[in-house]
Amino acid sequence: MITTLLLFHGLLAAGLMGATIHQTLGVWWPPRSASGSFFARFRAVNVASYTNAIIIMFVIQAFVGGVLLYPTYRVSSRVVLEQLRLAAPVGIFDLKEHFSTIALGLLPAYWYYWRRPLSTEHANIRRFLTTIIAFTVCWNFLVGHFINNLRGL
Amino acid sequence: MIMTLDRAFPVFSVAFAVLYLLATYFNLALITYHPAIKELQFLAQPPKAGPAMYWYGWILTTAIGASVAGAVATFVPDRCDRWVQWAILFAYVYAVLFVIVHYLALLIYDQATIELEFLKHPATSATGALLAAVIASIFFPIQWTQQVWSGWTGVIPLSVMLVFVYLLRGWFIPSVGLILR
Repeated sequence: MITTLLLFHGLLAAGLMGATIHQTLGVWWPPRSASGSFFARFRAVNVASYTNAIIIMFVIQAFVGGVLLYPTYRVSSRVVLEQLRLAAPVGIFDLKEHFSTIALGLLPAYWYYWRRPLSTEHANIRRFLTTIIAFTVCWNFLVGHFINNLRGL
Repeated sequence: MIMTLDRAFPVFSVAFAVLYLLATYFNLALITYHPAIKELQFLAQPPKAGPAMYWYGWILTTAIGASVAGAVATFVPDRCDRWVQWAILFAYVYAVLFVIVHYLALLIYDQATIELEFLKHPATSATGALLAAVIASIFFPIQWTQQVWSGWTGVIPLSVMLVFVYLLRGWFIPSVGLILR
């Protein structure tokens, strides 16, 4: 059961990371024309349409990771990491926990600033919040992957 | 009184970040979960039969506090915007100055040839930062205090994230030292 949940968590994380990177690049660096290179087409997405999907995926991720998997990590993996004196992995996982929570709290504001019609006066704060959430998602993905390689559930 | 419901969302997010930091720092958990025995207890409790998890309790405390802050914000009239912005700006400048004054005091304490024990006391940094913030507030440009800046929604949570990196530095410093050696 834990392995299935962990796989689901990892797959959803990959999807969430893709969505947030699309949105972040699109919002910071919108292409001048729809056609062009692969990279230009990667950015030429309707960035606003990603918002609700990102929020839903983030909340599901927080539930799966925080409620269903975290207690097992706390009992089985973290204790071993501490016994092995692997302080840095424990520390970066703690950061993952805190960054996720702050990003979870940011979602109402993120949704509010991405409401359509998009206001031009809030363009900067949209970029800012999208970047924070994208950074958090990427950090969580990398740290989760690293910790799982080090000491899986 | 005009209710501005829209204001609740950004205020919730900012309050959530700040309250979460306070909840973790002072361990203000509303519940404690003991994963080894699958037991839930009210408020922060010491570990028993395995580790104790406070994270759920911190989130619960924070969510309640941030919801109250968001609800209160809907009742604050627009004419108070200037004061709210000034208060946030002052609090932010104070927090930054507190860190600067604290480290300056520790630096002076280390370098001094006589014992200056008072420099290590948190009240010294708090008072010094307050004085510096009051002086700095005199020089706040008018355009900075005219209306509530939406950028706080990003700046404050980002600052809280940096504070967490600082608070957890004890986990990394030994490893960084080993890598550099």
